[in-house]
Amino acid sequence: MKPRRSAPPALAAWLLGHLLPEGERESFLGDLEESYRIAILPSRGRRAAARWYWGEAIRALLARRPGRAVDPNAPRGRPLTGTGSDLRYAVRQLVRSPLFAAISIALLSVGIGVNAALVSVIDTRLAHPVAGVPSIDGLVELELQRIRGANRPWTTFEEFLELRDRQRAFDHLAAVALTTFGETPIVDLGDATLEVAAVFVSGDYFAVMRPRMALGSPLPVVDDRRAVADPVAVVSYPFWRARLGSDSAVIGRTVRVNRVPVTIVGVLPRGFEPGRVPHTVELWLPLAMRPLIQSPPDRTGVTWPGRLPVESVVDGMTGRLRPGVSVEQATAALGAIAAGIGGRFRPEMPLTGVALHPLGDLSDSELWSGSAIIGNVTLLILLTACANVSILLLGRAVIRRREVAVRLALGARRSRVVRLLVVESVLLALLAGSAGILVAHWICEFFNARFPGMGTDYALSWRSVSVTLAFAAATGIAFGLVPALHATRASVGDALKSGFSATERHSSRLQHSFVVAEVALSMALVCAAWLLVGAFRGAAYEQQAYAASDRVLIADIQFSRSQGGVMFTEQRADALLSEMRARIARRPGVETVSFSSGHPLGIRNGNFVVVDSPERTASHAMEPVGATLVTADPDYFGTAGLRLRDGRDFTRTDSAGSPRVTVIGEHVAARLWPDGRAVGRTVMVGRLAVQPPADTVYMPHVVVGVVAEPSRSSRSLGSVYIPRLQLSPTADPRVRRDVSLVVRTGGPAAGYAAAIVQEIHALDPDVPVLDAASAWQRYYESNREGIAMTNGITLAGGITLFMACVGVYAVIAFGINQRTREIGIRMALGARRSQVVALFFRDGLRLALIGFVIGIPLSLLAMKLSLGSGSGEILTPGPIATVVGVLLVVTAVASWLPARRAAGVNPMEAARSE
Amino acid sequence: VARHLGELEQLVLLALIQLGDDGYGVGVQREIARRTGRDPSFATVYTTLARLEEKGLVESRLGDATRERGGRRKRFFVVRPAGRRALRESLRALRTMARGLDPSLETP
Repeated sequence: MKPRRSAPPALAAWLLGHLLPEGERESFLGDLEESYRIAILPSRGRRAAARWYWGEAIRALLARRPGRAVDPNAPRGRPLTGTGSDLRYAVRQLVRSPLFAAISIALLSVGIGVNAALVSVIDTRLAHPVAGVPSIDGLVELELQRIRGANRPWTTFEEFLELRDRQRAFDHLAAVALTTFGETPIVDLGDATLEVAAVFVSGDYFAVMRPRMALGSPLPVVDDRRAVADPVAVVSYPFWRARLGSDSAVIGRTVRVNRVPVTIVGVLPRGFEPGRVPHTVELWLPLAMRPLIQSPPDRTGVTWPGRLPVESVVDGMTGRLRPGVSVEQATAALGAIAAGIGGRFRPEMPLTGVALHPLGDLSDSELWSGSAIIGNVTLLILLTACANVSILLLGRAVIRRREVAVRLALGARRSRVVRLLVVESVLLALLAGSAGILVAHWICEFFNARFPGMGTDYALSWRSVSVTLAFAAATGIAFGLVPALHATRASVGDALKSGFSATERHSSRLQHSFVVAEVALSMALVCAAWLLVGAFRGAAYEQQAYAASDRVLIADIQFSRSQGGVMFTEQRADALLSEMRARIARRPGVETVSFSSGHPLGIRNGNFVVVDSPERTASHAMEPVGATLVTADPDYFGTAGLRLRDGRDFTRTDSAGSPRVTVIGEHVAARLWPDGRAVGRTVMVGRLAVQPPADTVYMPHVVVGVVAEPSRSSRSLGSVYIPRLQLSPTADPRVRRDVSLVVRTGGPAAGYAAAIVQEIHALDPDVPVLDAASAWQRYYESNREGIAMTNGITLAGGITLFMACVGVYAVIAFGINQRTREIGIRMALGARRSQVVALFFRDGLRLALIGFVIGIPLSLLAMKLSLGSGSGEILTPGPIATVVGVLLVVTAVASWLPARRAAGVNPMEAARSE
Repeated sequence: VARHLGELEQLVLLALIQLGDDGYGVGVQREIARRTGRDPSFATVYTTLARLEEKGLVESRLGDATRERGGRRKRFFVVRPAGRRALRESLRALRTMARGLDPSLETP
């Protein structure tokens, strides 16, 4: 047997070693260990033996034993003045009121834990601004400045090469080119085909970043000007996990990217999202491979003056400064080179200079602004916890005034008594702090386990642990010291007397003010948290959430992609779609089938159009309304589960020859006809001609329906739906031919995916079907992190409310329990039980009402403060009313239950209680 | 100082007498457990021993350390004459009180 395995639990032994009186320590520990090793461990096994040891240790720590009077061999134990004895006393006090201890520790530990978790998350990000890159010294992103501040100042490939070859400030200067929507490559993994966000990087990109690869090696350094002989790629960590099954033998595997065989040489580290490369990028390819991968798709109708061919543009540059070169020096040097290049490559937009942004500067990142709200909510949780616990401690101190008075009367010095009380609350806070660290650890674990691809591995940082413990200790001292000073100040005589007679009136007035304070404070804190949660939920991800359903299957059918030379003519595409619709609709379990070029979770190809009403056009008074034009097939809205506010869905009769109709989004309807019904009116739909002659051509459509749109779509354009067959021949071919197949199914839609894809491929194996999944899956996949955040912050808000409820209940119930004697006397004097209960019930509600009256202005203030300035319009009475309602119920229960119980006991017993 | 012994005190004193030279915490606890079927905790045993020592009924000295004790010394207890007297007194009191009752109670 290894010696370590047979040792008794170290923590218990340590506690005993520090808390037992000195004279007894050695022999007691020895006896315990001897028993443990010789008798308990062999007969009961490790677990039971450890439990036994702990049991013995706790009993020993709680035991009340006389000081050792005679101690011939050891130094004499100190009298009952040491911190050890204070601590023992404190433990006993807490054990004696387990409910109080449990509530306080639970409240504080949740507050502290949530905070520590947040500090850890932020620390993790601060320590590794670019996950997987061991050193970020000198890493900068380079931005070119041009004469006209275009909103997307692309850099041409030639400009980049010129700049790179002439500069001396960087060891390497690398370029990054993103693939924009509609040009993302299609990857064939053998068992699945999907559209993958990709980025092209110049040959020495990984020499700049130097990431610690999860598997394999980074892309080799190659000459960007030469065509690639054997194409290679590296993939992101989430892609490896989700799509390649975490296969460690993936290095050397060949996949097809736009039908080009590409060998995977490496897996990037988890969370590798440097600078402005979006975190959704899954495939990293050498820039030299771009001509091979991105054969220009047909892009009819999407050219405009100044647009560069997509193959010749880079989106960003990154470099690592040479040692000793400062950002300012590099800015000056590269600025001069850029100015020298001027308009050589883009005469319409000459270069004027450069700006350098050090990587890892988080101050303006999304993490920072998102964590501001989260930080506020967690702070509110902590404040709620502290408010509750301090009120509980104050209440407790009032009750213990008599005990304190007795101690003082027996000759204890005031400092001594204060220390006793402070040790008790510090112990409470430290217990809560330890529990809080555990809570924080669980939160981190939960996030890591639940969202493995999310990026950084969150772990408790030392800073957060030490901050947490320091906070816990400070809380303990503050919460303990004030009540202790208060309790020891009262004159001994008064306190002793009041303990026996007049105590009720005085201490109940104090109790009353605690209840009022608790209700008012809780209300304000919960209202503020509620508002923040609402702001957060409303701000993000709601755009698509309304369309997410697990009974709707979506698959993207992109005819406009020329794959392997197979081209689909418009006639062929139309025929295939009709056939598809008929075949899929016949499958068992399928309810309806439709297509659209603009589903919130599917393909979102749309033409920008302007819409107008004839009345408005005639008056010329108002600007036309911008909208996104998308196509939809019959039954689309019913199939996709989009709610029609008015009118009807498209039907089979809305075909090429029939009158032109449209279904418009409710926001478009509200803009066009602010005060009237839209259905039945005529709307003018036109394509805005960008190039001269700039004259918009309108096509009249009759509105047959108005569809609901997400509530906060003010920033995005509203939609205008037109039957696919009624679309004008000049429309963007992508809107005509690339659609999402939408199928409403009888059961969970994910189960139908494989069969439906088979059905389509039975029709024509070359139809590019991408990513068949339920609407919910798609929503979840694209918004994992957002959903996690939203759930987390909603949970946090719930915790605040729960803590407030527990606090209010505790304070009220506590107060009533203190009045058990009064209840007994009332009962003895002949009061009926119902009368007593009613009295306390009324009392409780009255106090709560006072609390609410004080709480309303406090809440408004807290809500204002938590939102910051300039957001007054979000202040609504809703949260306040709800919070008042919830707290009212809690107050009612809290004053009813304990009063009923107290009134139920024998009056004699009640009167004796104290 | 109270001269009367509590029940635990009686048990511990008897255990110490049974153990002779080998009276320390583990022995006392095991002896009580073996003979009476109870399983007192070490805290109980130690509290009782401390009380007996305070009353002057037992005395203690530190002994040797062994490996299975984690290198800690034992504290040996022996019953002082006063302890034997007190034990005799209290056992006699028990016997006296039981006399004349149901025969099953008479012989402890």
